Amino acid sequence: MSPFDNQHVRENEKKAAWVLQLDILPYDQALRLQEELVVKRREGNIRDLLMLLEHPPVVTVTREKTRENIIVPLDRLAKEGIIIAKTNRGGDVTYHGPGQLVGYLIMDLNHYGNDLHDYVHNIETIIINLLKDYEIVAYRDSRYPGVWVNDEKIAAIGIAVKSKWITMHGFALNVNPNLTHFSYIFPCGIKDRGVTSLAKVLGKAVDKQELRPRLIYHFSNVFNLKTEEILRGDMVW
Amino acid sequence: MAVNVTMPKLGMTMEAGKISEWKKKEGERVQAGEIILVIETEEVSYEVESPGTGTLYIVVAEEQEVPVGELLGIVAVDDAEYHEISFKVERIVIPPERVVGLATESKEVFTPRGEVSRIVASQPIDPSKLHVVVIGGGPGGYPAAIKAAQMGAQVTLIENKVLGGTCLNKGCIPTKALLQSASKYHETKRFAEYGIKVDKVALDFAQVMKRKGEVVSTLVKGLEGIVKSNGIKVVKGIGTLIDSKTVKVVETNEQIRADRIILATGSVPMKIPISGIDLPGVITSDEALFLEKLPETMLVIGGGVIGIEFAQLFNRMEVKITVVEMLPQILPYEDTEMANKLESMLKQEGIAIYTNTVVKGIGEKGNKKVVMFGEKEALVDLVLVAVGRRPYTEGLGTEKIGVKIEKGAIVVNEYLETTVPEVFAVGDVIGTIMLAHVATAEGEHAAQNALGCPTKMSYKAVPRALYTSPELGSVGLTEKEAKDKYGQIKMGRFPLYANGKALILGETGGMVKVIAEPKYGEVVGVHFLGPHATDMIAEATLGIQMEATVEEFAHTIHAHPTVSESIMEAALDVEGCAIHIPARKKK
Repeated sequence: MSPFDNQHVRENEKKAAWVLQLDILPYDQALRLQEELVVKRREGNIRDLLMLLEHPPVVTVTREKTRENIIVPLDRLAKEGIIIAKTNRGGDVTYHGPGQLVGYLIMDLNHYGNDLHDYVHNIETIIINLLKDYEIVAYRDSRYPGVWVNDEKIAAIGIAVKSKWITMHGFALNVNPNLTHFSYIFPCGIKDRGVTSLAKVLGKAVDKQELRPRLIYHFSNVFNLKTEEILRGDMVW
Repeated sequence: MAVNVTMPKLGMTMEAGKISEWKKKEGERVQAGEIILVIETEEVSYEVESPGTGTLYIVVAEEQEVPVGELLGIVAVDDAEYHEISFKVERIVIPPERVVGLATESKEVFTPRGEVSRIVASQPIDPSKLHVVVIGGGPGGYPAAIKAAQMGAQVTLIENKVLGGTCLNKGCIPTKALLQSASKYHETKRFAEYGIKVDKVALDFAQVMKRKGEVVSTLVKGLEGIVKSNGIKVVKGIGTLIDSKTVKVVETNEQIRADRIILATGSVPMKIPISGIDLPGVITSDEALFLEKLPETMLVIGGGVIGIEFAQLFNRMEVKITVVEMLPQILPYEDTEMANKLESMLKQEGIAIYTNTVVKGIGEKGNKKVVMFGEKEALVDLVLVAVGRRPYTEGLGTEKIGVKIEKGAIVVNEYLETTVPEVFAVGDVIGTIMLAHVATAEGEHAAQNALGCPTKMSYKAVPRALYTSPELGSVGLTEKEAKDKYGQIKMGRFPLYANGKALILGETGGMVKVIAEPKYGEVVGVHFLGPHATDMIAEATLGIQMEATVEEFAHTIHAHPTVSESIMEAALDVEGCAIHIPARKKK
C-alpha cells in the first residue's frame, strides 16, 4: 500500500517522518514536487517529510532586488551552464549544484510550537551536529544566517512557510560543489565572507553514501521523530 | 468593521519582519483565508492570510521592515459602509539590536504609528442582540455598563473587589470625606469670629473614619442598586481575556462570550525605587485611608493633587506634615501662579513644603522613619508615598489577544477602541487623563462606539478639582501652555478678597484667573482658587466647551452676592474693566 493513499495521519500516533532520497532533480521540478507535497501535508495525507537531493547548477533568486547580488554578466552564467530560477523561500540569492546536498523539509509547524526561529535553529543544529561527526567545528553567527566554519559559509538555509504553517525548502550543505560558481554571486547577499565545503575543510573527498544516513540520523534526533524511507516509485505526479 | 493586518509574532525571539511581497493590490477585493502578503524574517518567508472578506488597503509598502504587532494593512470587510478610512504613517529609526538580519547600523523603517482612525459602520446595529462585557466596575466601567444597558444591550460587568472602584472606595470619595471632617474641625478654631462660643472642641478620629466609611458604603449600595435596576449582570471576580470575543473569570473558570469588550481596570499607586520604600510605615493612599490612629508626624513624598490633599487634611488634624516634591512647583500640572499661591497659604498653615527636592532614601530609627531628602533628614512616624498612579493591566491577558500597550497603558484611538477591533478601553488604564470624571465620559463614549453610535472623545474641556481649603478648580490651559500655544495672550485676574460673598464666608484667600487667546477672545483657560472653586469651575467648563469668549463670560449676569461673580469680574479685567477692582492708572 502506497503511503500516499488517503490515510489521515492520526495525531496521537507515535511521531514518524518520511525520508525521500533522490539523486539529481532540476530545481523547478523539485519546486513543483514540494508544492504538491505541501498541499498533501496540509490535508493531513502525508507525514512530515525530509527530501534529500542535488540540483544541476542553478542560481536562485527571491525578491527582485536579490538579482543585484549576481555579480557577473548573465551570459557568463549561461556559458557555464548555470540557469537562474526564481523561488519563494526566504533569504537572498544562492547557488545550488552537483556536490551540494540539498534538503527540503515539508513539516507542519503546528506540531512544533509555531515558532519559526526555533525551526531554523533546529535545522542549523542538525548540520552542526552532522559536521561534528567529521570533526569539523561549525557554528552559527547571530549576524549572518547559515552555518559557518572558519568564518566561511558551509551551509545555507532558506525556508518558506505556506498557509496553515506548512514548511517547504530547507538547507543546502556544501559537500564538494564547484566553489568557483559561488564567486559569481554574493551568496545570501553577504559581500565580505567566503564559502567553503567539507571537501575544502577536510582536504579530501567525502563519501556521499555515508553522509546522507548520518544527516537523516541527526534530523530524527533533533526533531525527535522516527524516520521511514519511502521510494520515488511511490510518488505520482 | 475593518480588520487590521499586523506583523505577526512568528517566534519567541522575533522582533520585526520585512514585507516581501503584497500578493494583492491596493483596493483589490480579498477573501478570508486568501494569501494577501508574504513577509520575511531571518531567512524564512511566511504567507499571511486575509483575516476577512472585503477590500484591501495597504499601509506599509514592500521592502519595509516593521516591528511585530504593528499595522501592515487593513481589510475593510463587507456588511458595512465606511465614512472615512485614514491612518498615519511615521518614519522612525529602529536601533540595530531590534533589526532582524544583517544590519550593523540603524535602519530607517516605516512604522505605522497611531492606529487606523475608526472606520465607521453606518449600517444600523441592533444593540439588543449584542452582549457587552465590561471588565472593571469603577467610574470608567460602571457608566459604560449603564450606558450600554440604556442603549438596549445585554451587559455583564465583572468586578473583582467593590463597585465604584478606586474613586468610591480608595480615592475621591473617602479623601473628600476626610477633608470635610478636617475642614469642619479647622473652622471650629474661628467660631468666636462668627459669634459662636464653644467650650472645648476635640477631634474624634475614630468617628472621622467611621463617617468616611458610612459615606462610602452609602454610595456603594446606591450604585449597586442603580446597576441592578439597569438589568446589568454583575460577576464578582477577576476578568481575563481569552480571545477578542471571550472573557474568562479566573476564580470560577467561567468563560463568557462577548460581542464587545470594554476594559476599565483602572490604576494602582506607584512606588519609587528608593531604599526603604518597602519598610513598614511607608504607605500609599490605599493605607492612608484606613489608618487606625493619627501619627504625630508624617512626610509626604510627592506634591501632586493626592499628596497635597492628604497633607492639608492631616495637618488640620494636628499631624506635623512635611511635603517633598521633586519638580519646581507643587501641583505640577496646574497653573504656576495658582500653585505658588496655594503653596504659600499651605505654608502659613504650618505645612513644611520643599520643592525641587528629591527624596533619596528612607531608613529606620527605632519605630520611626528617617527620610533623607535634598541635604536634609526628617524623623517621622509615617511616610506617605504619593508620586502618582500607573495603569493596571496585570493578569488582563491583553498580550494574548494583541491589545497594544505602550508605557504600561492600553493604546486606543479617539473612539476609545484598542488595536483589537470591538475591544475598547477607558479610564486610568489608558492613562490619558487620570480623573474619575474623564473615565466616566470615556466609558459613555466607548459604550456608544461599541453599539454603533460613533462618537469621538474630546479632552478640550476637562475640569480639574483640588479639595484643599481654599479649593482649586481649573479647566483648559495654564498661563504657560497658553503662551506656548498662542504667543500673545490676554489675561484677567480678580482677588477673592474683593468679592462680597467670600468676605461673608470669611474665606478671602484666593484669586480667579481667566486666560483668552488673542484672535477672537475665546476663553482657553480658567483657574479658580477660592471657596467652592470645584463647583464654580463647572461654569467655566461649559464656557470652554461652547467656545465662549471673554465678552460672553463678562456680560453674563451672575447672581449677587456669590463667589461666582469673581469669574465675571476676572473676565472684565481682561480689558481692565472689572467693576470691583480699584481703577489702575492707564498706561
